[in-house]
Parts: sequence; C-alpha cells; structure tokens
Amino acid sequence: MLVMHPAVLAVALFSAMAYSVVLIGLNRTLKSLVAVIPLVLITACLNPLFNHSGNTILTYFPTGKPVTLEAVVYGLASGTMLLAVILWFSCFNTIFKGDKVQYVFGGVAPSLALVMTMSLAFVPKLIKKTNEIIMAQRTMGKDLEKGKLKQRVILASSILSALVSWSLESSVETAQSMRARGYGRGKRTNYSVYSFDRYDTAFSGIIGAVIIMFFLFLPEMEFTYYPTIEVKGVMPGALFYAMVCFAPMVIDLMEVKRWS
Amino acid sequence: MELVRFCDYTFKYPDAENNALNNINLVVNQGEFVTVCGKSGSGKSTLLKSMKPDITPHGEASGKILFCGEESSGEVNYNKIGFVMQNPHSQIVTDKVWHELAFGLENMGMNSDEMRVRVAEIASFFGIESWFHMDTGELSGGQKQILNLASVMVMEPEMLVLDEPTSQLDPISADNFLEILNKINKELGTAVVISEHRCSEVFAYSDRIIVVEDGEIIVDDEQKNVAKRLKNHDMFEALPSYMQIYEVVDGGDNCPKNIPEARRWLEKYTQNCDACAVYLGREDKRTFNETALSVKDLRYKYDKSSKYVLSGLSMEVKKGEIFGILGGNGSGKSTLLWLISKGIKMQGGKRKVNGRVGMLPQNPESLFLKNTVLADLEDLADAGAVEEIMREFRIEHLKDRHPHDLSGGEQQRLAMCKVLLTKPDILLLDEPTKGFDAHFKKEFGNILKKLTSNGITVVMVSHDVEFCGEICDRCGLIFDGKIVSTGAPKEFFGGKKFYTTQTARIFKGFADSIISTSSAVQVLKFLEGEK
Repeated sequence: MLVMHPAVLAVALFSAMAYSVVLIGLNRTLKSLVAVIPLVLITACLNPLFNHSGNTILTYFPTGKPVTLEAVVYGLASGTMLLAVILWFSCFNTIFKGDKVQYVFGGVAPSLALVMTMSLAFVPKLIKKTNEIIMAQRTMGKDLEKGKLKQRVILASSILSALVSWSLESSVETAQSMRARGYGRGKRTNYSVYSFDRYDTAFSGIIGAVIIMFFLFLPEMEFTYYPTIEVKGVMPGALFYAMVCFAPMVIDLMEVKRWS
Repeated sequence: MELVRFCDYTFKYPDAENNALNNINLVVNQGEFVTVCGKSGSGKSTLLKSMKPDITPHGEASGKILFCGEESSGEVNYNKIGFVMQNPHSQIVTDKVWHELAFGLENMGMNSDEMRVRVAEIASFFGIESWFHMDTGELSGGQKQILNLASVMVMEPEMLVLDEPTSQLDPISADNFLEILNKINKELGTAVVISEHRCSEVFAYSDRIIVVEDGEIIVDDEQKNVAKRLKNHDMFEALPSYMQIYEVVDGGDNCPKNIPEARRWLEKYTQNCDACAVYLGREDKRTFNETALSVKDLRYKYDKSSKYVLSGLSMEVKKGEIFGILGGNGSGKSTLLWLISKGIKMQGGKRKVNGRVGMLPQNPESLFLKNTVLADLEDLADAGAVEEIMREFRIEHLKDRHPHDLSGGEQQRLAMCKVLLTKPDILLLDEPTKGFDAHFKKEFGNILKKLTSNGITVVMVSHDVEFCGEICDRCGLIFDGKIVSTGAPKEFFGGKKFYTTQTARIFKGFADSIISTSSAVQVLKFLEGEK
C-alpha cells in the first residue's frame, strides 16, 4: 500500500474493485464509488498545483508555473492509492462484523469486546426508540417537520432529552440483569464461537510465505515519477502481490462454484 | 430443603413514608412452584427482589433472610438463584444470541470448552438452536423473554424468581413462556417463584398461591382454598373466572383448578342455561348514529421489499362506541392505529375522521418529555384541569416523580392523562391494560364508559380478550391485513372456539352467549333461585 509502484497500485485497485463486486454486487460498489471518486479526482488535481518538477511540460498556469505530465501522473497515482485503500476498507467492513471483531479482540481486551457487543446491541434499540418517540409526538400534534424553526428545535431537544432519560433508565435495568447473572463478581472469560483450525494454519502459512517473497523481490521493483516516468522490474514481485490481493476473492468464488 | 426463608422481614425504601414489606414470614422449598399475586404497588416486586441478593434494593431492613439456611452475608453461591424481569428488551445485554446465552457463564469465569457444552445443552432443551447466530435485536418480545430465561437457566440455578415476566407479552407468547417455565419446574425440579397479574394460566401450575397486600402476606395456601379466603376482598376479581364463579355460586370445598374441572362442575346447571342467558342479557344495547371515523381499503407496508401489512382494510366506528380490535402478533393492529392518528403517512386508501384524534401508544414512555409528572401534564393544560385528571386517575401522589421512575401501570395512567388533556374526540388506545391489576382494570373500564357517555369514541387494540368482552360495544378481528369479523361481544366471542374469553370456554356447548364472568354468575344464581 505504501508502495507507489504503478503495478502495485494497479493490482491493489483492480483487486479491491473486483472483490467489492463479488461481496456486495456491481450496483452497490458503483454507488459507493460515486461518493468517493470526487475526492480522488481532487487529490489527483492537487498535486500538479504544487509540484512543478518533471520533464514533460503540458501547459502553463496563469502564474507561469508549468503543469507537467509527471506531476499529473503522480497525482493520479496518489488518487488511485487512496481509492484502493477506501475500497479495501469497505470490503473489510462487509466481512469483519460484530462477533468476528470480538473473537479477535476478546482474548486481548475482553472488556473492550464486551463494550463493543453492548454498543452493537444498543444502537438499533436507540434508533427504534427515537422513531417511536417521534411518531408518538406526531400524534400529539408535535411534528418535527412542521412549524417555525424555533419550535422544531425545542421539540428536537425535548425528544433528545427524553431519549437520554430512556437510555439511562433502560441501562439501569440492563445493569441489574447483568448483576443478576453474576457480572462483576470475578474474572471474566470469553466464549469464542470461532476456532483456528488446521486449514486456517495452512492458509496463514502460505500467505505468509508469499508476502515474504514479495518483500524479497521488492528492491528490484524500481520506479521513478520524477524527472521522467520509468518503471523497471515489475515481475515477479507484482505477481506475488497479486496473489495476496486476489486470494480473498478467489476463496469466495471457489465457495460459490462449489454450490452451483 | 428450604431454599429461602424470610424471618419477620421488614423493609423500607429510603425516604419512603411507609414500609414496603411488613413482617414477612415466608418459606420456599426445593422444587416448589409458588405464584405471588397482589395489586400494583402491594410490594410483590420488592419481595421478589429481596430473594436475589445481587439486586436486593437498598433501604432500611430488619429481620433476616436465610438462603439455604445461611444469611446472605455469608458464603452463599449466588448463582443458585436466577432472576427474570418484566421488560424483555432491556434485560438483553449483548448483540448476538450465542453471546447472551454464554454471558452468565463468562461471568463465572468458566473455560470455553465447558461453556460450549452448557450452552449447547440449554439451547437444545429450549429448542432455540436455530436462533444461535441471530442478532438479539431481531427477536420478538416473546422470543427475547425466552432467551432471557435460557440465559439464566444456563447457570443451573436451584430457584428461579420471575417478576411479572409475561406482562409485556401477547397471550400466545405468554402461554408459551409459562409452559416452558412449568416444564423447567416439573422436569428439572427447579423451584419457581413468579409474580403475575394474569393468574389464570399460572395457577394451574402452582403448588402454592401467595397474596400480598400493603407489604404483608395475607394468603399463603393451595389453589383450592384461595377463592374462599379472598371472598370479600378486592383481589377476588383477579382470580381466574372459574374460581370466582364457583365461589359465588357454590361456595363448597371443591373449587375447580382448571377449565375441564370447571366444565364438569357446571354440568348440573346446564339445562336452562342458554335460555336464561338470553333473557337476562337482554339489556338495552346502546345505539349509535353518527360515524366518528371510517377507513376504506387501507394499504400499508413498511418498506419496498416486504409484503403488505394492511391490504384493503375497511372499518367504520360510530360516535360514542367502544370498538375493540383483536388479532395476533404482527397482524397490523398498531399500524392501523398509527395510520388513523397520522403518526405515519398513508400509502393507499381513504381515511375520514370527525374530530380530533388522540393516541396512546404501546410504549407510553414515548409520550413523556419532561422531568416530572406535573411538568409533563402542565405542558398541555392549566393547573385546574391537570389536578382534576390526576385525581381521576389516582396519580396525584406521583406528581413530583420522574415519569421514567413510575411502574408500568402508573406510566400507562400518566400517558392516558396526557392524551385526554389534548381533548380528543376519538381516542385510540394501543394495549392500554398492559400491566394493570384486575382492580384497576375495572376502574379503567368505568373511566372509558364515562368518556364515551360524554361523546368520545374509543378504538382499542388489545390482546386482553376478557377486558374487551366486558366493556366493548363492538369488536373486530384483524387477520391477513383486513378486518374479517365484527360484532357485539356476545356474538363475536360467543361464536368463537379459540379467540374467546375464559368464561366462554367454560360455557361452550352449554350456553354460547355467556362470555363474561358477571353474566355467568347472574345466570347461575338465577337458576339456583329457580330450583
């Protein structure tokens, strides 16, 4: 990721997009990109504004400074890296939900894991309660969407205050429920739904080996953006990198193929 | 073996005027099933909470409570006593069912392998294996309460204490829950102490009934003696209808313990039952002329992909009527009320309303916005009107309390006051009698009747079949998105086999038009007099 080698960036981006399509479908991937692409373009355009090195001059700014091809390409490369990172995090978010996070953190920081699960349980309750309160107030003639701004703000803050009261009350009962089941009396352990089996060990070993190979071949992968764009030594480093990046997608697709 | 013994136990909450519990002497033995009844505020909750050391309330206490012969300050294994509370939603701590089941065991510091075995055992016993990986937020109220029970049972307690566990549930989920509880008691030998307003189902499972009033135990006896002991008492009305009818009409020593026994007892009266019922029930039916509200062909669904909750629902309610809407869970009853009250936007169909609509939602706390009861009411009307309505609903003593500090029944009353202060012409009530004791239910029925005599129309969604039978002018059954059956209670309940009052079930086949306890007593006494 921190490597700006064009091949690496291209692989990262392409694999991220492909995996996202596999996970959440083409439509939703494109929809999520719509919000992100402007950010990427801005990043791409910012670089030529500030960096004027490079040999190939395209045009000149009003100030007299040149816009160089190398700066533009570097900007695009940064933008691509940003886009790839965002897409990968979005994929991560889709897979790595609630109880999986707890499995990973549970052993290390059990109280953190508990706080997480309680928050995850609480958020939907809070949303539901807010809707209930808004609906109920509407039947009493208090609508958040009608009336003068001042009234609406006052109503909104009353609703917020009622919501806070409710959550505090509700949490007292939850606390009682926890104490009634022995919370706080001694050291806690963590129940794990998942386990690390031999397939996981084997896979970790293989991927670990591939990653090490990539880093071994990394010094050979030379590239420069300034003063001219030169790329050397793409293979076999890029191949190892591609293996790591496409692995999740391949695993998912193999699973799909098994059932069709 | 004694699990719990109270010795002259007296308890007072801090800053309270009166004792919450007075000289309690009570023993719960291993394997017993004990039901505790009493009016709201009688001290049942305090008594039950005192049985569980971790959540015993703070205050001034005198006397002793012994757990398995030892006082609570000694080395008592607290996990031997499990506690289940009223609200199914707030008791859930985690976001996944598997985690909720394992929570208690995690607190005990158990290792993963042993936890796995216990959780598997409990999930299988309860039949909830399919829920294992579900989000707890996806479960219904009834399912959540079963999960709460399972997550307490996984710790293998010797005694279960339950504080009104079914009062927030619909009848089907409630019956299901109580059946499982009975199974736990009879198959595993776990002692059960349960407090309930809905005594009918739970009496049949009980070894002993305890009645609490003003912090004292006034009855501690087997089921068949209870009706006699409570004969001239307020709590008499809380008893199952067959016990009430037997006691008033026969008064002997063979009080029936369930519906089949009641029907056997009834056989000697059956010859002229029906004719009498029709004769005696020939009261003036109230007539209604104007239409207060009508909806036609209502359609509604929650989001694009789900199916229609209401599909072509039509209904008409006359001015001054009390109209009851019954139906199963998820049948769309609440949605219908939200649509009429404009809480949610219409999606199809017509709605015509004559006058202002006021609504009491299922969660009355959604209506509370201020920090004291008085402030919340004065938000809507002047001091005089507020005082009067507080008196009528018996909540003046609560005026400085925070609305969220009130008990379920008290919150319901406060919410009613709020809605009535907006002077509605049409009153929509969503499960208004949840958590009410029998005594206040009767008062509430009278309040509703008085409101309608002043021209207000009442549309009530309720699971409480008995209540609807007593006070509604007409009832409707909602099913598959429509109202499928409407009629006066006698026709509505009398003709049905399943969705009907307990009294109707007793008299089924003998006299189909008897659906309420009062008319049953009337008819049987008349027949006795005729002999």
